[in-house]
Amino acid sequence: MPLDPQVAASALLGGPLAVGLAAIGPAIGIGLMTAAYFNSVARQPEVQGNITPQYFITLGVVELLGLFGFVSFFMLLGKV
Amino acid sequence: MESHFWIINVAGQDIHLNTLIMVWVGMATILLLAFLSTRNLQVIPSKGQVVAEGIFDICRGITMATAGKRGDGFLFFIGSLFLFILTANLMGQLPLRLIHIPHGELLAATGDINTTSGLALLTLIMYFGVGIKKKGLRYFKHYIQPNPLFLPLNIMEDITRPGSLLIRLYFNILVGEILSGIALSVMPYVLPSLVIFLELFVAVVQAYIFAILSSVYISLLSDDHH
Repeated sequence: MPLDPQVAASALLGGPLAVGLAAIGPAIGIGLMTAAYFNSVARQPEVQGNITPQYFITLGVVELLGLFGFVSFFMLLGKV
Repeated sequence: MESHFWIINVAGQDIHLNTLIMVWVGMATILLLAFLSTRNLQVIPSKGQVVAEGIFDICRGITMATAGKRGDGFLFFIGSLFLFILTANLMGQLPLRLIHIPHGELLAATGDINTTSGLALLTLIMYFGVGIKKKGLRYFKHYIQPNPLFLPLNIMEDITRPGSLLIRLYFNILVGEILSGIALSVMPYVLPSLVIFLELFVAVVQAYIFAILSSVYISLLSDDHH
């Protein structure tokens, strides 16, 4: 397949951009979540056993959004 | 793009032999450890038995946190899932690059999308199975609840749930491998050892998240009010 330099350049530029931009949201989200988790555990250490599984469930859900940026990075890399 | 897997062809199907080796070694390790630690059970536990009981408590904690007592019905599945993913993830941190194979490298088995797809598919089958076993054909009624307009959304949910599971695990492990590869080329010996600390944490957390999310999905659909 003849490679269009414009497509290749856009893909190379857009891939890392996608990773970086996609990381913003989950970073803020996980930061807020972890802060709230530590706050509540510091206030009431006895709830730790109850909220830790919930914390990890939410962590997985939020983190996935950041990984979608990575998925698009690999899809764009396939164009080069 | 050249594949970094060692591919052999069996009956028209491509097989990633390095992933296969890692999966089998992982399964053998689990079986061996499980056999050794539970061979001679006693009321006053030996060291191996304490570890095995601790691991069992973690697995039971996962199902208890999401499904309560009902979770004991699929504890066998969640437990094996957790143990297998944990072993596979941690085996990726061993210095297996020192062992030379004809093509590619021995990397974590979960760093191959086929392994994680298989695990996610197992979860899908499991939650259909548990739901149908619990409620019979009434199980399929949840597709048209709260009203039939939600049918496409509910069907899409069955695709996105295993899809998100497999993408999460695969990309977390892949990112770790890429990261340690970069660290190795930037500053050998120093930087990779720091990355390995992070990766050990990620390996455990990802195994935990996969198991707990599978447990949530299974328990949600076999719930009474659903």
